[in-house]
Amino acid sequence: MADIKKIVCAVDLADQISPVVDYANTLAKLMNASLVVVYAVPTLSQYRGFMLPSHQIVEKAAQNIPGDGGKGMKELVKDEYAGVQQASIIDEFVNDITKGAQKSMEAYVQKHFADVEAKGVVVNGDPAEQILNLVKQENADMIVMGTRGLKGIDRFLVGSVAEKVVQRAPCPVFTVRPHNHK
Amino acid sequence: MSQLKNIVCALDLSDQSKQVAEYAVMLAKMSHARVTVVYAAPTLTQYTGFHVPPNTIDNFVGEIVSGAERSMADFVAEHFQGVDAQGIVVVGYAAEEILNLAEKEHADMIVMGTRGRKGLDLILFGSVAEKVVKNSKCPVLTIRPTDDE
Repeated sequence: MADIKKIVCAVDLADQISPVVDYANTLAKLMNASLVVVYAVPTLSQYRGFMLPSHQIVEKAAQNIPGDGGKGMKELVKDEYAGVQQASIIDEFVNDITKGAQKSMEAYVQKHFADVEAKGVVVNGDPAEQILNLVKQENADMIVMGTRGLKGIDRFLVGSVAEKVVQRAPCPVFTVRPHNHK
Repeated sequence: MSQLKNIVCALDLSDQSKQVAEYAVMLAKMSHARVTVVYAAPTLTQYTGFHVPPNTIDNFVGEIVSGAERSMADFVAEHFQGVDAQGIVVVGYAAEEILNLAEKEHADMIVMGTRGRKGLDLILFGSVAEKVVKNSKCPVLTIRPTDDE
């Protein structure tokens, strides 16, 4: 018979009332399984090409380069470091979010998964990818997640996170549509 | 707490169905649920425009259905032992029929496999499972066949 001992439950930390949490609790108790509760922080790497405020810092730094033949040098410095600066400001931002999310996750697990064996994990990156990685890493037997993902045209083009997970998961996936809780 | 008392288990009576049944049976036993096992036979109405007498198609579908009903009865007897399970065969578009049945039966969850249409059809229309996942009011447990990589 199929045996479910470990369940990965993907949550949105912003949702304090979620049928996903309800069902994850129900299933964990029913099957006497432990839970790995996961939240995926987006990397924001898609913003790397944008002009972020750090660009001005680089510009200033380039202006401060002494010497008259410096024009070429200044351009070079700008080109060399603009990308790096922007990448690091994004990384820093994501790190801050991740640290905050880790704290929120602890509180979330304590509040919503008080009477089951549960641990919280915060990961960075493409949510579907990260959920699937975690499932492999944890050797999980089931995934519980909501079907809400990308909205609008993005969803149409890329497909929702749940869709990707359903298509590729090595274990069964329990999908819950939000806000229709009976 | 969420209840799981009423399970709709959608099968295509293929090799993968045993695996899907296994999960439905496990959940049914643990939550003392009733299971409605369903197979949706295609309507073949898309062929009515061809030069085939409509009767031929109806007869053909009728034969598929009665064949499927026998297979379903055997399957349920063999793989749903010890569970309150009832097998039915419906005719129509699989995703729609599964969703209709889930609503009619007030299902608390749907259990189904992810294998369905293949190739171009899959790219254009998505699998039956995808449609059910997107549109179902109750949770859906999807099981991917282990041999499918």
